[in-house]
Amino acid sequence: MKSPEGQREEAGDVMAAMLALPGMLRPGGGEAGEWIEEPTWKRVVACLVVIVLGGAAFGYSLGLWRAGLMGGYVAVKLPLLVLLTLVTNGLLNGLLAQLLGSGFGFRQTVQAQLMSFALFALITGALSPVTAAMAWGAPGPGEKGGQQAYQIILLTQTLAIAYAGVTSCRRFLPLLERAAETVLAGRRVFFAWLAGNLFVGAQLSWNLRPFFGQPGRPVEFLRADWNRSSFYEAIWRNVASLAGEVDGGVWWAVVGMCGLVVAGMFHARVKTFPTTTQDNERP
Amino acid sequence: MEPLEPLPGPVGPGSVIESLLKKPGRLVYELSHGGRGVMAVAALLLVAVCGLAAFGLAAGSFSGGVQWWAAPVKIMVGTLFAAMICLPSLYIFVSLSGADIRFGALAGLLAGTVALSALLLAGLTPVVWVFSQSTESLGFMGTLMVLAWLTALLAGLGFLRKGARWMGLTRGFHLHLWTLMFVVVTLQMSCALRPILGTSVDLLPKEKRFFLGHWVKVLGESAESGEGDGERSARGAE
Repeated sequence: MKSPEGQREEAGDVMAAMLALPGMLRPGGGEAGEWIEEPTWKRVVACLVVIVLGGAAFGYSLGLWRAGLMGGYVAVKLPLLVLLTLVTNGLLNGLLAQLLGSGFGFRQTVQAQLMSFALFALITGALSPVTAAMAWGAPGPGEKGGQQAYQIILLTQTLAIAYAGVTSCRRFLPLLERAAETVLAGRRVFFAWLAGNLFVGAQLSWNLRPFFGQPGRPVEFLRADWNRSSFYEAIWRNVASLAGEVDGGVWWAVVGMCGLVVAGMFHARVKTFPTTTQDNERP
Repeated sequence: MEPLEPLPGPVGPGSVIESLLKKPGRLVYELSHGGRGVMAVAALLLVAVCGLAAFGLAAGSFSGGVQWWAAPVKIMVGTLFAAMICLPSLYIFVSLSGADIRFGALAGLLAGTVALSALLLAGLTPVVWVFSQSTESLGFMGTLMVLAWLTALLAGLGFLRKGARWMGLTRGFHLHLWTLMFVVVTLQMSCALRPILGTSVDLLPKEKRFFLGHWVKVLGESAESGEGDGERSARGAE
């Protein structure tokens, strides 16, 4: 049993670690490299606290327009979504980090993953007062202008999530490149983690829906059919339904455009990725 | 290229897992030069069996019941059997590729390939489990399982390619051909041992099918049913 002074000191260390996290959003990355190389339980706790607080704050603002209770539900579900994604992909991400030559062990992988989500939670948490105020001040469901408000809030919050996701990834990629044994290994691991987390995160968010709360549907923690379908089946059904309604020429034009985008991304990737051993070395 | 060096410390599941993931050259050294090749192969097989069993459990959780034990057993037996029947051809194809590798060392490399694939499948187990509890569509789960299988297998085959190069492989064409054959054999094995995901009165199929034809049939039935209720128990195909 630790003395009250010891407990206060440890809590102070966790607080200091939490305060160091915003510094990682700066271009230099602050203490990020040290955090990944030397994970400690205080740093892990600091990340978890930031994920829970930031996620809860933004989650509350997501559900607030529909109802206060919905906001409360989403305040629980958003951090839960992040943590479930981390747990589900934890083993795979740890294996991939080692297999792709990053030099990270399992503890370092967990720390790095937590840091990436903590950066995301910091940004969304910082945006939550704005999105909450917007939801609070907008016409509610059933009121005049409510439908338009719903669409605007949905769009704004989607943009906020996209901004937080893109920005945290842009900040985290250089940190990972510096911490990994080679730049290429850092990039490989980053994209492997990103793909895995997006794949599983999309499904888990489908299971945990609703988040925004549609005006005509009841306020509930989970839908009754939460485990009856997958996110990807829903996408497939929508695409198939669209394909049935849209003229064949238009459909193939869309497919062609997607193919061009993918080809362009691949071309950019080939040009961006280092190809020589010298390029591959860390600066 | 990483230098070939012996595994530090005793050979066991922990050390071979670490070597497979981080320093494959150490494992290749033990399999080709060291006197602890048999122990390394035994450890690799243990890792393979555990990883495949974990993946099989996730597959079995989709239908439950008898599949809780049947799916892991079928996946373990099917994969090891596929590796066993492909080993002689691997020896010939590697020889055609210009490498002078002992049969035992090659068996070790193949065991390492299966073990690394199984390790990745074990890593994918929570992902597969999440989906198995989320959907009732046999077609979707079958597709997901095949994608997971191919991803893990191709990563595992990377170890075989690296090891064969370390052991003197100069031309890759024949090895690529063998790789294609091995992938097809494992996929056919999943069809020959069906059902692995769905349920059926019989533990093994009475009708013989080629895996591509079988999958087209399952996906077609899945689409026709509109992904409705009870699909996981309706057909014992995948």
